[in-house]
Amino acid sequence: MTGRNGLWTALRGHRAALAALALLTLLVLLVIAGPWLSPWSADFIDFDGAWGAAPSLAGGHWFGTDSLGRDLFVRTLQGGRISLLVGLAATAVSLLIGVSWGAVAGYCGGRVDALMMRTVDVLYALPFMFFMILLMVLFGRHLVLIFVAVGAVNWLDMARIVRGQTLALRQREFVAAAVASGADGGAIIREHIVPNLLGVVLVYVTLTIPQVILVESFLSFLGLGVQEPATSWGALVNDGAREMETTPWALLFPASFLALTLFCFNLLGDGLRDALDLRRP
Amino acid sequence: MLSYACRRLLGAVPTLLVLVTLAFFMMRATPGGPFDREREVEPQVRVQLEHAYHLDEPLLKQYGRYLGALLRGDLGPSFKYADRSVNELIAEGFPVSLTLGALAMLLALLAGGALGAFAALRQGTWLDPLLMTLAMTGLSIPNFVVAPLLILVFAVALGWLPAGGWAGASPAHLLLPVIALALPQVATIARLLRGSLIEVLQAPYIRTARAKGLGEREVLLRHALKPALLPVLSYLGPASAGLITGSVVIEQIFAVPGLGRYFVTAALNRDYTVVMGVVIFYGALVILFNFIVDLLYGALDPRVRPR
Amino acid sequence: MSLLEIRQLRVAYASRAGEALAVDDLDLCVEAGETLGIAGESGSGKSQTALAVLGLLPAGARVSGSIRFDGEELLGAAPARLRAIRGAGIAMVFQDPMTALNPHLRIGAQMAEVLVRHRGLTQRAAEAESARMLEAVHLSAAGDRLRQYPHELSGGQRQRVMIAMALLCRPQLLIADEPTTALDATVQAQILDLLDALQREFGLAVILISHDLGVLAQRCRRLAVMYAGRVVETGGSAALLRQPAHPYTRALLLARPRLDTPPGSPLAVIPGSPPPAAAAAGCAFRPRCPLALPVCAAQRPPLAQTGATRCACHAAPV
Repeated sequence: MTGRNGLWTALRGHRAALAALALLTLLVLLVIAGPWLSPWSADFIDFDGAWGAAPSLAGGHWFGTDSLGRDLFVRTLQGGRISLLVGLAATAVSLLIGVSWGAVAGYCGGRVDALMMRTVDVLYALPFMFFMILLMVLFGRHLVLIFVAVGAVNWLDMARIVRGQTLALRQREFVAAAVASGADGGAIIREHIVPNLLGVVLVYVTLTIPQVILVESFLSFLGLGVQEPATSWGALVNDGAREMETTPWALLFPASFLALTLFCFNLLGDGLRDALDLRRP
Repeated sequence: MLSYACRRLLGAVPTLLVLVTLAFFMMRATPGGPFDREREVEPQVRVQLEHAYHLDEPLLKQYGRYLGALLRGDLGPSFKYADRSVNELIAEGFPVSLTLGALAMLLALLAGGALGAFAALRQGTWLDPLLMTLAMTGLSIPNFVVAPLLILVFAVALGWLPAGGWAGASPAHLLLPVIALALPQVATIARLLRGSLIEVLQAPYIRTARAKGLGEREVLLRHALKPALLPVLSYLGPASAGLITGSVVIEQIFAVPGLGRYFVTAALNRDYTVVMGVVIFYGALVILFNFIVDLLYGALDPRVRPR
Repeated sequence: MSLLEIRQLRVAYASRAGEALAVDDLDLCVEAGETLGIAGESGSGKSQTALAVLGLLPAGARVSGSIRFDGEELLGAAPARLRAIRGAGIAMVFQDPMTALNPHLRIGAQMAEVLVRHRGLTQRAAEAESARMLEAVHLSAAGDRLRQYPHELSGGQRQRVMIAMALLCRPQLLIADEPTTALDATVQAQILDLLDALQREFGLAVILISHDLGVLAQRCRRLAVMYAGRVVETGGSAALLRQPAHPYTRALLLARPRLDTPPGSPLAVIPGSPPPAAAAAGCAFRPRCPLALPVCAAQRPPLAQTGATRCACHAAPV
């Protein structure tokens, strides 16, 4: 079931998940290419159009402008770049840590496993968002720090699920065969365990990305994340919320993009988990 | 039961210690001291300040001092407001946050439970997918998006409710923040209960109950409800953590004078001791909550309950 | 009139390839006080038949035909009437006593609710009666058992609880679906002995369902062998064991491990596996049958008297 073909066949029955995948692809393309489609740049202040202009196709500001006169269409897509980038990068970090931790614990078993998983249990009980805020306060608000930090605290689910799967895989014949033929531990993990974890990991990657995007937007909303002039959906929602009585579109457009992205990722992750018949860790 | 409780409690202690240690050393690992940034401080004043806050002592001694104070329940002074201690801030803000959080938890359990059970019992009809799509939507709209939208509709456009403030926990001021805070938890609990109820209703012992001639009501209430609620019970730990986190933005948006709001102000002002004190306080609260949930679980599931 | 009369029972489920038949044109009857054995591989429709009698098939099942209990038609009966019969007139013992008892309720609560429901007893009277029934199934310390949870009992003890629970309202018919499959071999015999004794004591009719034809033959006077949702052979157990007419019955008998076969000799197996649903035309056993004739592919053999038993096979000796 972990092969690419098996996954695809399984997913074919989930129409909602497929629709979510299609919509996500569109969103990503739009976020990447969109800013070039518009005549405006992200930090250009349009003194001719009114500050806080309403969305209009004729005026060229498709999503309107914010209270500073910046084009919201471009701002929203720029923010999307950051949000998605943080989502992907932080997920990659958590993937790296989580898979290594889980695979080693599951493969070694015994005391090493017990100690490693006990650590995960302890970390699990910590108020993770508060640590993020603490980190941001202490070490400044760099983009790189955001995704390293988010990734570094968000690998626990991944570690648990990978460890469970590794334990199960370890019992299987092909691993026994590799051990019997004298392969060393590292090679076995790399060549036999990790490839067989792909399906599970894919599901958790899909479910981790929206979590991470949410964390980043949460921090940015509080003013603790991405700093001006760079922006992200969370920061845009924060700006928009402050001006929502006069320029509600400044709230609605970034908020819709954020919610739609999270919705699609969640739907896709749910569909994948159903398709692969996985449980929560 | 007592030994089970003790074992669980012993499990919570290392978590607490890790929490405090991480927070402390992270703070001390900051490049430069807490008085380095932003304001220029005269060297003389600075030495005095560092001495007053024991920052001139070796790190381990400071750690020991902090732990000792913590055991007495003292989270130390605020670095920014010399006349206020972290304890005072917590004593002031936490009751407000607790009111908000407890009401949101209640709403999440009632609404989420009702929706989840309803969807499970209507499985196979159009209502189930509709409710679950709604739940997924609720899960995907962060509460810092829901909150401004609620204000926009109910305060700005319709003018039915105040847009913010506290006014001594008046119901009108509570309604919107509680809803905004509870919404993601309502969605999660609804999904959780629906899933577990559907699974339990397929269990062989439910078929046995039906084979005994029990009516559907009796099957549901006597046989299915309790096992289906156990996963929801385990979720209460993470749910409380989610509510605490959510309260930070919700209090900010609705200008509620709670601990979350103080926390954000402190974070933006780099008031290290306050940030750290609140992190430790809330961390301990979550750990305590998980501990209580563990105990409840042990009391409710006969297979876990030790003899 | 028989106690239970099943006529032309058909249980079908919608599937992607159309309709999948779980039970196909099944006729069976059980007289008051007798024990009928139903044998067959898993998927042969035994359990589906049992669940159909109690009206406990899953929501998607399409059932047709007739099931009469004590003269009363059960198919299409009002739900309230069915609930009144379940547990009181017809009781059932399920395969796995580990999962068939609710892990969250005490034994006493699970037993007493049957009496409260059907006989309107008070909780106290119902628990006292439950304790008496636990003694009747030879469970020691019956009074203490009532306060225990299922996980505190062994598998055999749990199955005794299930049996006691089924007998509380003195049903006329007990359906035991693989009641010993999940148990140790020594416990199996004890439970089956217990069922025998109780059947005589209470004058029960019993339908004993098992995949083990030999066990059934020892316990039942009459046997029915099912394959792919149909009865392929039925008759007195002695006759059926001595002169099995259907090739499937013969294969089942050969596939049993016996004490008199020399150790190390291979067990006979039936090549192939049963079809998921009854074939459209012809005999469902044909693909695995050593005696298949051309007619078997075209015509479904009817159940007809062949020597000592009734058998559905074109190749059976008449």
